[in-house]
Amino acid sequence: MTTDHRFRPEAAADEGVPTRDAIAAHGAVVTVDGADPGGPKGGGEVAVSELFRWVYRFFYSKTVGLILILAMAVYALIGSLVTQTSAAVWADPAQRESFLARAEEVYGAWTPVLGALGLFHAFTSVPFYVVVTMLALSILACTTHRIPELWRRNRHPHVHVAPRFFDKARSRGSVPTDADPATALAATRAVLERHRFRVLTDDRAPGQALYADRHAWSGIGTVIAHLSFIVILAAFVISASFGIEEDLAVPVGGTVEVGHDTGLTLTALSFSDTYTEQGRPADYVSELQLRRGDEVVAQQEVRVNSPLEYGGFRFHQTTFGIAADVRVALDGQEVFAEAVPLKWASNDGANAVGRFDLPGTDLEVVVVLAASGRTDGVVPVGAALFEIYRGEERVDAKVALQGAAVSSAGHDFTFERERQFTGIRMRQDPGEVWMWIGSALLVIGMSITFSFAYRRLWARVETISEPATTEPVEGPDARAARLIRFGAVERSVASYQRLLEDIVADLDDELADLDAKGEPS
Amino acid sequence: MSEVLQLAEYLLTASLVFVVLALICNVVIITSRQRRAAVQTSERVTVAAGVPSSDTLVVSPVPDRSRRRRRRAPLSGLAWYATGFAAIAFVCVLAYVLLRMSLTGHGPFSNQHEFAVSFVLGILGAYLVVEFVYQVRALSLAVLPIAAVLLLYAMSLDAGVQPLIPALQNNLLLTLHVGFAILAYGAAAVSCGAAALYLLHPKLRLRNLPARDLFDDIGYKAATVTFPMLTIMIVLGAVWANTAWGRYWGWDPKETAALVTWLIYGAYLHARVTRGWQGTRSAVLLLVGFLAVLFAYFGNHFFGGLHSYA
Repeated sequence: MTTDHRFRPEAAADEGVPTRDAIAAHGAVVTVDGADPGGPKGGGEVAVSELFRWVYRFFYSKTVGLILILAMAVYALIGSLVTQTSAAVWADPAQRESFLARAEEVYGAWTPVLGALGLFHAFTSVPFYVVVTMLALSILACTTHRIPELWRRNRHPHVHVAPRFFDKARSRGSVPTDADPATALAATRAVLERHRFRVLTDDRAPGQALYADRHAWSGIGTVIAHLSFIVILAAFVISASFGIEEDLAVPVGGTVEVGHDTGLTLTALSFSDTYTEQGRPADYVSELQLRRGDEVVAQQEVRVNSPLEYGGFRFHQTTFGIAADVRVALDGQEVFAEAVPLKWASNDGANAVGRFDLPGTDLEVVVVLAASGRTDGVVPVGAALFEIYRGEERVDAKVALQGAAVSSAGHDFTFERERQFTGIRMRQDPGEVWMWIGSALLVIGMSITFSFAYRRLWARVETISEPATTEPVEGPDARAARLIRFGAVERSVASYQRLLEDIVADLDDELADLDAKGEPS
Repeated sequence: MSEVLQLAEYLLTASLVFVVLALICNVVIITSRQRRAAVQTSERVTVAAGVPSSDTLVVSPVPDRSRRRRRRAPLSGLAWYATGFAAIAFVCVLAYVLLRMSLTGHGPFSNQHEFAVSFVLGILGAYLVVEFVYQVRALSLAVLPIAAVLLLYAMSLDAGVQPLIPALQNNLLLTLHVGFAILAYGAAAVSCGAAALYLLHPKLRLRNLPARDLFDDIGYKAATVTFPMLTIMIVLGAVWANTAWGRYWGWDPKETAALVTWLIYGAYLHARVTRGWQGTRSAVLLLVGFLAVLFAYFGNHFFGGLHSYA
């Protein structure tokens, strides 16, 4: 036995209720084969596929979608209010402790709670990924669920409504006329077409009724806009998974390897920072040269808004400062020779601090120099303090005069000189193109959705002497032989009013013109 | 340049005066015992049964054809002054913005003062469009005070011209990104005003207040402008961030606040279109949306991050 609980369009239409609206208003209707209408009872067999249907129904639920959007908004709000740190810092116990100690000064007793909820790294936390993934699934399910309905409204619109629909329609209009039904209907069709409506004949009342809609195709805008979210979320995943982002400290006049099997080197030929009289930054510019071996493959002045691009890589001006040229040797073999950017300052501001990981070891080296213009720090001007750490444990600390090597932890450390560095962010992002495709689709989809509003209405010519409806005709209409009636189910009544008024007025004019020309009535 | 700037400041003062005058005129019109003759061809009736909503639109042709196209009644009397003052205030702000652009060589969006003035421009522009389209001046009761307060705020800020900091030195994207923000924020202020009037409607004992549903409709229409404009603003911001900072999205507080705003308006439109939310619930969402706009706008005062210069 099959019990069919599907919404039946024709039955609904006969009752004067537009089918698609009823579906939209009441949600989907489920067909259950061989089941009691009340559902399975007492452990009756439920097909495995029902689980998937249930999951699908869950995700295409508008309520679920709305809750997920709001959950995303709440996450974003928290993320903008609560101090955030990177996933890398959070993953490192030492750095996390340091971050939490600072956070405690602001959030006090709430710090452990916020930390436990992952709200200090909200956008890389597991709950956030769960919300984003569920939102993507919700968008996908809603879009999939909606496509058949959008297809039907464009290709197979519901053209017939019962006469009493015109008594109950949310927006309705009427034009009295003495014209014969064919003339009245032709005039109605002409007016509606002038208003850019697609007009279709009601097959069940061909000489009496019309269906008209405008922008029935615009549902594609909704589909495009929703699918664009999937593309955008995919772009985020691609960027996070396959993108390369690396901050390079390039000493001015020095060269660094680009790495990533590119065979490229980046040289900072010059750097300048200029300021206004009031001390506001006016310009930061690095003259960068990109080489492959001896061949210069790209060279340009790089500013904040004009990165150097080559071979899928971009080089952005991000920062600048003072660096210490450091050389480290093991048994006479050079193992490290780079400019170490002194990015931090000591608490008293007397010293500039940098750090690097010693290649091939588990050692971290902290380099401390006297800050510019300060002579009251722990390190004399013209020298560098090397502090060697293994994890949290300080292994050794040595002060090295410029150009003189000191031995520590089995290595020879030399502070060559102090010089300016320019901070360059190197970026390669295969997700970027998908982000722009998704963004373009989003804007296109929205433009279609909001610029081409879907409108539809039904029209019917009724003879007043034999009224087909229960609604009495009063006033000037009573003197006319017929009434052309319009009905629509627009929710946005106020904005629909203007359109309906224009149609009614135009039709009245059209009929008056026909009457004046002596068209047969 | 400072003398020209000083003169330009008078334009702001003048626009504030005209905004207040427009508001006063509208208050008088709305509370007046005299009613303007309505030129309409439709009416709302209450249907006894069979329709979910009690408000139904019934349209029939106006017998007098000469009146038919006069949907927009010609402005006369105090209404002429009210609209005129609002329009003059808009022109004053526009002139100020253009003057500043000619002085600085870039869009007037580089600091809070310039953006506050541009915000007012967006609000006044959106208000005038809605007043023209809907012929509803009661909206001014909620929208013009927002413009006036923002003007006062702008005038309290340092109006000096400063060169753009390096991050903002991209005239095209600066103009487009912030320009769309202003369009979005202006429409958002109108939708907020409409939502506030919708909610207050039963308590307001004003003689010439339009039907409550009209405010619901205006709020929705304004939100359908706000949302795409916000979308374009965020996309352009991502394009710019990708150029300047090497990534299109970094969860910077200002970016995140813009996203929150966008999500709220997205939720509003979804709730309205797919769940049929109209009336009180959707009006409350519009108020929340505008609070998010203000949060994103004033956030520069307490946000850190890459947008902290603005």
